[in-house]
Amino acid sequence: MSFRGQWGVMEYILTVIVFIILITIFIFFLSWWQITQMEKEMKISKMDKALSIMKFVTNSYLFVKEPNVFDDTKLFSWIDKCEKLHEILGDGWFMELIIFDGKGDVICHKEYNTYCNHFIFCKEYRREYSILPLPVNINKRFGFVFENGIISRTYPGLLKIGVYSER
Amino acid sequence: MVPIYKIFKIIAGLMVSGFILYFLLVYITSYVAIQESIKATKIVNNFKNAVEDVYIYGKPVVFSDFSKTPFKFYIDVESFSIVSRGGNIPKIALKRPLFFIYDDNVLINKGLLDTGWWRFFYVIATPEMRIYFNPLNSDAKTWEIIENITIGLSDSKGYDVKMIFGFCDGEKLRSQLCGNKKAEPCEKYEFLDVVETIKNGGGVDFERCVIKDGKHTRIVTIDYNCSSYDGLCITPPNQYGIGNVYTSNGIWIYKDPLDLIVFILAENDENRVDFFVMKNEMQRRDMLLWIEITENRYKDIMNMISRLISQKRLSPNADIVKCLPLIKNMIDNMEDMKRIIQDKYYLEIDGVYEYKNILNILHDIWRKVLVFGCDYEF
Repeated sequence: MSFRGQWGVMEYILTVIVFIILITIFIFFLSWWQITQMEKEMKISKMDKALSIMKFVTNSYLFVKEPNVFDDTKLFSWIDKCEKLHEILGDGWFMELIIFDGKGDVICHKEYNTYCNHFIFCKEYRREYSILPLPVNINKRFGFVFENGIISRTYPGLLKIGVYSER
Repeated sequence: MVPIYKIFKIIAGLMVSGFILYFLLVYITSYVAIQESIKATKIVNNFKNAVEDVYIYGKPVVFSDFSKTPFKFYIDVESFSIVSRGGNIPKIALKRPLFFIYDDNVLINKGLLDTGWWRFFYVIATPEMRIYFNPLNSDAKTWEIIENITIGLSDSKGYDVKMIFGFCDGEKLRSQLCGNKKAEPCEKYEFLDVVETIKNGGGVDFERCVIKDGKHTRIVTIDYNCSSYDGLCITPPNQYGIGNVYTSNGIWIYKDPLDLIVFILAENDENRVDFFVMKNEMQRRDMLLWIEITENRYKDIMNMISRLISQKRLSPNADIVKCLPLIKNMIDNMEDMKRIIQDKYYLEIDGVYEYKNILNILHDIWRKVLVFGCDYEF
């Protein structure tokens, strides 16, 4: 083959190689685009999950006295019942309720009392999460205790729904 | 003569083009299939979110996205999830009680089974449907059953996907019974007015219906003697609110209107049994959860009252102290109810009678609990 012929073949091969490289780059770009879209979808889906849980707990009579007004006696019933909460609402989330009663932070445990003001459900430490907060009210059944009876009292508070990032 | 390198160029060009074309075709085919599955999964998730919103807020919604995917969906009763016929679409678990009949457009509506102390909310998602009753007796119990079934179904007024009610009389389907100036099909509340009018007018005699169920048409026969019927037949309830449903798969016991509604909505006899079992399992789980939470709550309240009395902060004569025996009574009867509903009580007549008995006792105690101000109505 003459030098011209050889050069022609080389030119052709180089053109094809460049073309293949360009297509490969395009395919990698498409894959990167898909991955970026998926990450964006995951973020949106985490917020959707938090919102869905929030809508349920602020309206379900399992937790509230009326929409957005939590009942403290019902909240105490859910302490240490994380498995049951996961059955109703799925897993990968946690919930905190803080009552603004003007006192220091006191975590609520299983035994019912009127002085604790911070409920925590299903929280796992050392895991990353995103939070969705919402101002709510909490009704304390034994708000005021008199000799002749009791009156419930409603406090402002903050509901926080946290959704964990994937491990 | 053609130079060798030109021949080489042609052959190499064909090989490379063939390779690229093959690769692109494989990629595009799998990309399209994946995108279809992703789209279908999004549609099912949207449906699940719509069901959740209707369950929480109670506002009916028409869902039309199913027409955008070639896949069909149904409820898998064993896993309580929405699954597709064909396609690589993951199962979507159901967290709320849902009774779903697939079609391109469905009306999603919320229903309630209310016993006072416990409420069971459910969601019905149905396409355009026609329910025809064939009452073969004209007594109060027959009309009561028709009313209770109608109340538990969807009100489609103002929505494009309709639920129409009427009567089957022999060979005729009578649905144009409503409307002011001209006869129009009856939706829920208009049909209830028609039933009320018939009831107050002493009833009407109907002939046995000879028409069969259609794709989204249901014929509901109500008769004291259902043994000779083909299709769905319901006996009016006895004084305890218990009756029988006859299908080609056997005879079933019903104890509330929702038992009847799931039988009516199901598409065939096999589906009917699945829906009935699914409904009762969901109801059982919901009631067990409610009992667990309420018992804990009531025990906390009782302990708190006792503690306050022992600390002399509350007088033993205070009104709230009168709640103690009532709350104790609720707890004891809820324990009995827990025992009864541990198993598939709804399949046995003794289980159903025990269930109804405790349900009525709890209802009566609950009324007193409310009157004394020991708890609130939600």
